[in-house]
Amino acid sequence: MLATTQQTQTQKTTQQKDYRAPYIFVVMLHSGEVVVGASSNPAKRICSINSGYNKAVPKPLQINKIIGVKSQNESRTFAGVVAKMCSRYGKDNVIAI
Amino acid sequence: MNELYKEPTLLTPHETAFRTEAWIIDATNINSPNSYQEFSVVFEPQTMTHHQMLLEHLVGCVSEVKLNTPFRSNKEASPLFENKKGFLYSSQLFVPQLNIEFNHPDELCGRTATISGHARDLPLGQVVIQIDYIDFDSVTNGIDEEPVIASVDDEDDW
Repeated sequence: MLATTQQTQTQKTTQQKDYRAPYIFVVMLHSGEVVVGASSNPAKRICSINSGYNKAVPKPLQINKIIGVKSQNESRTFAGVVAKMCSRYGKDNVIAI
Repeated sequence: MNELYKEPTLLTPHETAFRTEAWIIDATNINSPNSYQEFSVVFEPQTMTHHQMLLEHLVGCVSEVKLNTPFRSNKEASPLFENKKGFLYSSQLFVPQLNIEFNHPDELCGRTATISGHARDLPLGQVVIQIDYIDFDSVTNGIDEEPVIASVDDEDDW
């Protein structure tokens, strides 16, 4: 006697996980512009920006100083830091990477 | 005393010396020791070339400690020169030499400098950076102020 098997349909559910980089960094260029970025390795990212490997800052050796590198959390988000820099330095002087 | 606790250092300053252009990220413990009684400077090479070459050099030092560790040794080679943010830091028992004088370490943060140092392995095998000399760049980038022209006294001009 053949046992009847009940085939249950399974639905694949995918949960979109928003990736949030662990650190936010802010650097100032020689021109006075401020670059805001988020990365898991901010040191290496800053090096690559200063080497001219970023389309937003194509010229090398443009970073004047590193303003700060802080961890990203619920109170300090990338969008919030960009907004704060825009209000402090002006919208035209902020580059978000 | 047990000779296992007197293991000599495998890395020598002469063989592991390096020099790089870097930003000084944190110089709080440059002349005052931290809670571990160590002097520490957090820095970051300015370009990818410097960063990559320095990291490869340091990883090579870690490999050298692994290869040259004796059979009966407590040493386990591991890197101890990169923090969570990716910045490099030194860990030493002596104050690095500087080419300038400062009143407070915060004056040094954010400045660019040429850092000369070497790698050293601790008794348990951790490889650390030790900075010998920091040559800070001039704040004005070498651009001198305009020379003051002295006034000409016509009476003495003869």
